[in-house]
Amino acid sequence: MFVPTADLSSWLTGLREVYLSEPIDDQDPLPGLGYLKVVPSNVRLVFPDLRRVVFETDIEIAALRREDGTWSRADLVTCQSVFSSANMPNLRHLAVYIGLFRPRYTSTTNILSEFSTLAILSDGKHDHELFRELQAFDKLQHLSIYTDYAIVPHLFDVGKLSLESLHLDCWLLSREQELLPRLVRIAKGRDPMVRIKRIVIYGSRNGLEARTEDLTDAFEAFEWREGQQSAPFEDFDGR
Amino acid sequence: MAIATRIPPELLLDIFSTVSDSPRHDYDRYLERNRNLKSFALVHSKWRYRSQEILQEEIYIDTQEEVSVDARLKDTVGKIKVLVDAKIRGTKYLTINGYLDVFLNETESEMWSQIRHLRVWASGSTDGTLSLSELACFPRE
Repeated sequence: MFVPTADLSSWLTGLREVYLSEPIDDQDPLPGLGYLKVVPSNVRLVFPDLRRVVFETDIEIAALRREDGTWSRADLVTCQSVFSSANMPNLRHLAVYIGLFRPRYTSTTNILSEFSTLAILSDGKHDHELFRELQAFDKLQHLSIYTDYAIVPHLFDVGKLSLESLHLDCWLLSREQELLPRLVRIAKGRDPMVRIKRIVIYGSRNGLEARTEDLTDAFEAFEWREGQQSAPFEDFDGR
Repeated sequence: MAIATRIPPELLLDIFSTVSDSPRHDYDRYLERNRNLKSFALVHSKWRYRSQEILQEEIYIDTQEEVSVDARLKDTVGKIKVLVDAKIRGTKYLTINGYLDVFLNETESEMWSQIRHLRVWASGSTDGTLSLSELACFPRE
């Protein structure tokens, strides 16, 4: 087996897409936190073709394993050097699952500003923290969200937001009462803080129309994908 | 049968790629894809090469989850051995629900030097970790 060693001044890798997850244990339906080990010599690793990273379960990307088996944080300088536009110049697509563990991408990476698409899949309580980190995604154009958390206060009411497209599950509209009228306002260009060119809704509109009769005319402002049950995640590219 | 021999190789490749496309997180669909491609290979000798080419593009190693580390290790090695014996080459998509380090140790670089899409467990090595350097084992052409 050939493994890049510290002897190499640099090592170019050909991977384009990486998907990381943790196995799901039937005894514990929530997967644990996965660790991606980073050591100082990793600053020599260059991923010139890498364009997509998907964390399908909670992944801590800045970790070192101690001899006793516990984990500590790797030094941030190393992590920020590796996860940077210099070492990953074409990384554009990020998809993250957020469960029980708090995401720390702002502090551990130096590359958030390069992503053009972000897909968030969440059933935990920390997704609002990633919403807060959205400020670091300078070039973000397309956002896909599946969350148990309220979107309006944590995504739309935290500051200015400008996107090419926002992709949401239909059921989120019926769950969060404020969301639908706000989206209508955004789609019609009447929201002073939020600009989104395309709002794409996934799932059937029939059930939703029955519950929101007064707004059904406004549904035409959205792009509907009724044949797809949920907003895209791992293959999300903004289309 | 005559039509089987007249389809241009490039078109054949397109057809096989389209009908055998599988979501890369679905093991059952992967198995179904392989069955289809093996069937295509039997239609005519001219189809064999192209279907084998597509067949080798994707590898999905799925190991038993609810077993001991040793049992999973044995399962991983057994499945890798089948691939080694078949002299798999040119794989682009690799999914390992098992141990990435074992895969890299048990195989030759010809099998994985063209891998571009990797799906792996974060505890994907036998020591329960995944190192960034293991992701770097797939060289750029």
